[in-house]
Amino acid sequence: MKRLLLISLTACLTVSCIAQSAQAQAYCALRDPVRQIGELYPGLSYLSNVGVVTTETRKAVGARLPFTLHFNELGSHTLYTVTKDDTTVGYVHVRPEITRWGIIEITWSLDADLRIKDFAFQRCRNRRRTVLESEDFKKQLRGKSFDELLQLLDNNGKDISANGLKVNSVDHEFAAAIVRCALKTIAVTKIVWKDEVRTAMVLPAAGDLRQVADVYTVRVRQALERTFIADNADIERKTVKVFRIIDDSKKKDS
Amino acid sequence: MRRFALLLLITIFFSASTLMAEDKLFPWNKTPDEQDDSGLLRRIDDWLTYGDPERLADPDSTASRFRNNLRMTIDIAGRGIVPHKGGNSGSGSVAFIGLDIHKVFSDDHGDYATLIAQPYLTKLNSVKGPHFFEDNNDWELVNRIMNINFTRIFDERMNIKVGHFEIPYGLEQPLNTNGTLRDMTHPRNLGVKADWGVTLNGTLTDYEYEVGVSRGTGNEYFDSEDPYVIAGRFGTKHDDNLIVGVSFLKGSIWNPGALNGYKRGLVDASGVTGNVIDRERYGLDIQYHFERPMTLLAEFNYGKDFKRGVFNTMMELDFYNASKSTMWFTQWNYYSEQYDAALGSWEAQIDGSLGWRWTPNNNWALSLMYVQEVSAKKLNDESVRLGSKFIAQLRYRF
Repeated sequence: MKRLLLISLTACLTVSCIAQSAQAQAYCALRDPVRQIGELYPGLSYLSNVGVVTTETRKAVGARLPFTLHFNELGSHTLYTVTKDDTTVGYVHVRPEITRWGIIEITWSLDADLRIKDFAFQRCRNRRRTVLESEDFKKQLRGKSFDELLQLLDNNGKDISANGLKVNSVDHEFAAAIVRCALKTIAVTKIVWKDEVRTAMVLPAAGDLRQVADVYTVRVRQALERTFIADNADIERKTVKVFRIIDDSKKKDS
Repeated sequence: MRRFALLLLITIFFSASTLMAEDKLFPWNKTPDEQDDSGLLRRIDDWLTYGDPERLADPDSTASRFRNNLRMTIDIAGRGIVPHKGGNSGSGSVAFIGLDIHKVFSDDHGDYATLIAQPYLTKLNSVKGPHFFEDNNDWELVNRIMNINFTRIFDERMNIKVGHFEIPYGLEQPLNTNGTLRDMTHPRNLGVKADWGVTLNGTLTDYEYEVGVSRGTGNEYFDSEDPYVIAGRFGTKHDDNLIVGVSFLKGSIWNPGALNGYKRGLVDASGVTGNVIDRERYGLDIQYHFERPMTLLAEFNYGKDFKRGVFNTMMELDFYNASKSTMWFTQWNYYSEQYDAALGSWEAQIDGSLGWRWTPNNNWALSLMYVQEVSAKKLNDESVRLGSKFIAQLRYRF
């Protein structure tokens, strides 16, 4: 009997091989973020794309960021592509982040150009989650691209940069974790699902979107005066946002 | 005792060498970057993950359609059990090898169904298993979970699941403990963990639910003595830190072991024949995730076995490290039933356990658990000996 017990215990121990794609959790415990998809994109259908996050992905993420994926983040993951009338309107992806409050899991919603649309916590023990779920915080992340998010963190990615985000000082660590998670989500999506994402992008594949801070330059004001609409009170000019598309492949602004 | 000491020594040896060794000796202690390519198993792993690239080149091929959105993993586990009761100890083991498959079916309009298939060859070695094992050394193909959930008949608010699923009741429904040492109350409270049938399930804005009708036979499907189960759970959404659920079960469950336990509390059991036990349960379950990685679980069940009152509860406290790779838990179970008055009326069994699970990466999981009976059901104030058991399991998924 002792022999059988020893064989059973040690049989698995002696097996050694490399394997990256398995999930520690049995697949019956997998839960699709269907509620969040329904809330973020009401009435729209979604298509699962299962991709494998490998050690190579981890290295590639590490090359783009001052931090990288935890080994438990490797394996098969799903990118949910949300479509409307056969057009991709966005993606949903769930990614964990290790914090001192344990693992937080965030359901991210990205637009077709992989900018942040919204997020929702799937697991978050931090009691201040309601503060960072508020519209005040979310609107600081909405529309941000990878590069813009990166500017919100300090050099090592552990804290938010000076003037990066307007949050209470007690929430700096928590907010930085959320931004790190957002950055990893965009990086992983770009790397693992590059073919799916590229075809749906509105911007050029190597492009980036930068918000123009000073919209009403002297030239613009002169142009408005020439067209006699400079003093048109019906136009709410404070809400106008202008973005510049930077296409790295062409090395000039598009 | 010597066997217990041997098992303990082996466990300490592996744990210590894993935790302390500077030169990482064992594969489960190495990061994927540090592991070596090991030929055949690597090729099996690649095939499980990616399939045959030549066959997959054609997107309309059967292989390609099968592979699309497929997760497929081989799951191997060995479990050693050392029980101890009244000065006697023996040992046994269970070996598992199975496939864990998760496949999403999609078309141009999106996802429409999810298949989960988990066939596991299970071999007992001197261990008492569930009733579908013929003896303590039997082997059986166990269908852990094997169902297809149709997700586009309505929207996320109502799906239809067909096949072999966990009975939608109590904490097991949201947590799912298949293949782990840690278990919820299904085996002892309900007498059936997974069953063949149909469920309606869905997620509402703030609530989740699953209601099912099933055969009542567990692993195998048959209809002798006409067993059945109707069960359901309604709970608050699983992404909150406080999750509350209510459940119900009504059924006639094929479980000879549970029926024998019922007969034990009768003065005259001659009128009870067959293999099914009529059960009714109403449950309340609570999960509370504390701010630091610690979780409290509780489940309270009241109901009847035939006309006999039953009250069963379970409480568990879980502690995790930040990355959740290590988990400590302590679980306390209270099972009581109302025997015939001549045999002592309400009798309770209480046991407590302490467990540890270590998941160093996505492949390996080592679990240890010690269970101690604190109190046992007695007939006419008879003296009973309390038992304990030590269980260790090593699991490898690739």
